[in-house]
Amino acid sequence: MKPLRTLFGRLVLILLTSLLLAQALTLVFVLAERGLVMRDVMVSYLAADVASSAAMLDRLPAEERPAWLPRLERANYRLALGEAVGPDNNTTPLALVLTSRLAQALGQPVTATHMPAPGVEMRLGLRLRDGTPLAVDLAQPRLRLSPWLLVTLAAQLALLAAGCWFAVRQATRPLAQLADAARTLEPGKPAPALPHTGPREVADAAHAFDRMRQRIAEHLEERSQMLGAIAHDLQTPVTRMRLRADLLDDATLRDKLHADLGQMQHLVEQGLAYARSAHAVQESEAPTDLAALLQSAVADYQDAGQPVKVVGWLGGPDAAIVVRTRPQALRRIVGNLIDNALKFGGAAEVLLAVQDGRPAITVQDRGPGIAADQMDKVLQPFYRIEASRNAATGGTGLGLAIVQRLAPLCHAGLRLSPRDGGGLAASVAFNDYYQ
Amino acid sequence: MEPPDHILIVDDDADIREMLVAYLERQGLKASGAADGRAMRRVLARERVDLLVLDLMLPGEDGISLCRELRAPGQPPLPIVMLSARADEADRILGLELGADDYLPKPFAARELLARVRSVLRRTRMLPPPIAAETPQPHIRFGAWTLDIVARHLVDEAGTVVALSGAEYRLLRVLLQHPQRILNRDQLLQLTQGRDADVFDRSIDLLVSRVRQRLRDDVREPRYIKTVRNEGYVFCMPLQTTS
Repeated sequence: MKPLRTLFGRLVLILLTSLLLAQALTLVFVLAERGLVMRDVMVSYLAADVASSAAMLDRLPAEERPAWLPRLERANYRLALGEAVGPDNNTTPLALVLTSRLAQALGQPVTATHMPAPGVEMRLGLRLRDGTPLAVDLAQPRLRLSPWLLVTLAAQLALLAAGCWFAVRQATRPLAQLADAARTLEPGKPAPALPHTGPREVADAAHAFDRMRQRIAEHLEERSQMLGAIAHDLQTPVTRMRLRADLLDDATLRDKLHADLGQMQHLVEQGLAYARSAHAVQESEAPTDLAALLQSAVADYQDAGQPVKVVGWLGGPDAAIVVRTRPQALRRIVGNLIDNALKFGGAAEVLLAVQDGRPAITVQDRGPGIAADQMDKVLQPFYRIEASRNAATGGTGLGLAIVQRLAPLCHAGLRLSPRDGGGLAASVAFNDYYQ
Repeated sequence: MEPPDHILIVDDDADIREMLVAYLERQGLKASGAADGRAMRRVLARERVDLLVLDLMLPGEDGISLCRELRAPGQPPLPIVMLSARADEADRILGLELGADDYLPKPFAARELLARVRSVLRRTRMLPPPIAAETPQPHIRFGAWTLDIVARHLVDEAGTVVALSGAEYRLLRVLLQHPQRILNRDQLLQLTQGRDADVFDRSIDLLVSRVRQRLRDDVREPRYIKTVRNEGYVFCMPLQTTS
């Protein structure tokens, strides 16, 4: 059952069931108690009533008696004259009490008989003074509930259900808020503070969560700063080494040194870029023309002689697709994705299209692609796929990690997927759509 | 024979300074080194210097204050290439506060510096000095557009950001520095040659049409960049002198 999978459903079910059972028990007790009291009252009235009826019938001439019988009837018994009294075979507690009280009031033995007739609980048998048998047919007791009792019951149930719902909501809502806060936890992004109000346990949890959030942010900041500091301090020695290499006469050695230093420098740059991506949140958001951004990014690569081309436009190259984002960070995202495609696929194809109703930038290559079980791992900093994708290329393992960090700040999400026919397709899809 | 250009390298790291001097001299230039601002002023007072290579981080007076001093009114024009360990400072160095002619992030190879030095020398000799407002501003407004010098993109009247490629930005910047003035294709080519791109195999005409497209300018009736037959291009929209 679906609702039982939630804490809310379970708590409501448990509380409501136990409360309902308790209510039902109380009701049963009350009814039983009322039945007993009513019976006591009935027994004493019945004894007095029947005794006075018998005394009246005694004084009436025998032929007038039947006419009086209906007048002497009561709601819970009727009288019958001259009918067989029957054996004294009823020994229920009620019968014993009734017969003894009646016998006391009348001064004669009274029998109680089981009656098979419908609606008759028992027949009490006695005799008038002249010996005529008189039967008292006791009607079966009817449970009489007043209508307002049902209304009260329904109102009580409704109140209970509402109370349960409210109480459980009190308990589960802070949990949901906590889960929401954890879900939207984005390092470097100011998150709405959890309310530190409410019951003490809830306030405590919110406080603990805020401290955890702060510690995570501090750790990340520390990591970025360390990376940035190392990368920064490497720049002077790398500069000296490059210059020394330039002064070498051996051209082969010089070129090899330059290639090595180039790789080092790339790592340093990416490390700095990764460290700086934490500060991308400081760039203000602006509506941004996506087509212009892609065209200019691609033009930079084409001007540098790189095989990058645009293979598809949403609504033609002149259509303005405007999204709210951080343009500089988005530019870095596109650059990193194109760099990746060039590194692993040798060429990059850029596409601006609509996916699920949202504009998305896709960069595709015909490289070796990424195995399905590696798709998540490549987004972690410094993770590299050992086998095919990295052997000769010497990537830093930071490019996609930077994209992954910047994408949420650009109101977009990164998705990697295998490309039809081989290669990788990296998509950056935007959350909202302007114009 | 014309004497070789004299390059003065101001860097506190003795190794880097000496190696750069050695390298540039090997390439046929005259080069000298200075460890700080005081040494730099001594050389400038004594000899003719054609170009200054200035490190941003210096002990005592740093590159920023030295550059400001050299750019103060009344100083003779001296081309400056700035060195910086931080790539993200490029915009401050080039556009806003300092007005250096080019910049090179550390670490760099000596031939990159040589290429920059040569291109800056060529450029400053073939182009008239900029006639646009000398105090650098972070935004230049013209027509319906604002050029953001820091972010290197255009912003339209609705606030929408329109990105520019490196070459597009450089072309527009040069045009904006020389409004109402015809610039020929050679000059534009020199100025827009990518700092990051060694090869620039697209014609200036193509680049101009790309910038027109960014500006949503009509080719037949351009409002911003007009073609002057057989001469070149002119930026014809007046700049707005607001803050």
